[in-house]
Amino acid sequence: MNSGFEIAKETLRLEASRMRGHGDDYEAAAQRLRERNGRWGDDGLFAEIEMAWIECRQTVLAAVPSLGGMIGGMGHGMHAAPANIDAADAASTLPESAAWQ
Amino acid sequence: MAIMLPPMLDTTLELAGLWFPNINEDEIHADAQAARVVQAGTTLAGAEADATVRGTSAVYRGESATEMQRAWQSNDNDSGHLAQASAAMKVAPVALDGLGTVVTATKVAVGTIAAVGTVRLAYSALAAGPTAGLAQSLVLLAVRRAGTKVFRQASEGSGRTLATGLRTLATRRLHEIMERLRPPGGPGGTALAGVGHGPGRMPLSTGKNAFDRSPGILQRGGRGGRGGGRGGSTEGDANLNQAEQAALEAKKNGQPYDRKAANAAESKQKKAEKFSGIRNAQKRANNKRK
Repeated sequence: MNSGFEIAKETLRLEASRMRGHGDDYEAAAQRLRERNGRWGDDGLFAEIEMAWIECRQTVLAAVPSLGGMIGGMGHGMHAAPANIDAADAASTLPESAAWQ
Repeated sequence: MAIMLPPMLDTTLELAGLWFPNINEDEIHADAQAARVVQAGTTLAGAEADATVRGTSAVYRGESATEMQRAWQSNDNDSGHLAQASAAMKVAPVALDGLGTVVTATKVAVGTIAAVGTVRLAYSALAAGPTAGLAQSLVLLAVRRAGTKVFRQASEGSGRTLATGLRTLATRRLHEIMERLRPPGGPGGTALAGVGHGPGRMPLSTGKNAFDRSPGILQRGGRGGRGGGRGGSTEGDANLNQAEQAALEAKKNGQPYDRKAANAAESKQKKAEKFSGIRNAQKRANNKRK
């Protein structure tokens, strides 16, 4: 646990934007399914499985963006960590620079 | 290619009180293909995200990094939510392609029955004997019986096996994943230090850390931070000096005491009680009784 703190900010920032890209890719994968209207012109013979598929399709279309958002959120977090380090660094030099001398 | 029935055979089915399934298996196979694309695309993106997070361990270490890896574990592509979603989404294309095959088979079966029935109807018309009408009725009855049997099997087979499989193996599992999914930094523990608290927020752990002894760090930590919070405040305790302590003791025991020191001590205690919230709590309790 206590193995010290180490961060390569620029690399992490790069990885963070990559991560957000993965989140977008994940979400974009559902595009083709979203374009389908999910109707087969059934006349009642296969009603039960058509209902099951409509439900399944809705669930997939809801689950994929939320999982993609999770990946993107992870990317935002990876971006926030180096930003926090920068902010702390700036804050510690502003008011009392004389204290370090 | 969706199977269409020639108009001739359609008439035979209509005479037998049947119909040709209108459902388009091409649409089903297209849905299956779309579901397959979703499954493949999401699995690929999930694997890449997985590799990216694991790769950061080389450039980002520390407690917040450990938290991030731990948060990722419940979502990862090995056994986390991404892997579970990928497995659940694999079911849909298989079920749909299976359904497409069932639909084609149903159409072929009903079409064949219609063809056989049409030929038999033509034969019995050719016979043109006194029993021709009866023979035609028998043919239509046979067609109806055979067709109904096929329809029932197709409907029940797809409804029981395929629809149940789709519901339990795909839809319900995806629902479960969505219920468990929570954003990083959301309730129940933080994924990354300081996420969502605005810029400048330091990844502070509780208690003292090295930053407490450094000058100039802006801190807004909880209790125990340098000079911050009620815990370390001198006003939070009564902090009586020796004379005040002695006067207070004497007053309590009914002995002669230094009035000025006792008053000072009491006002200090009053103030401390206000700070710690005891005093107002007493007031509230009194009000309640009335």
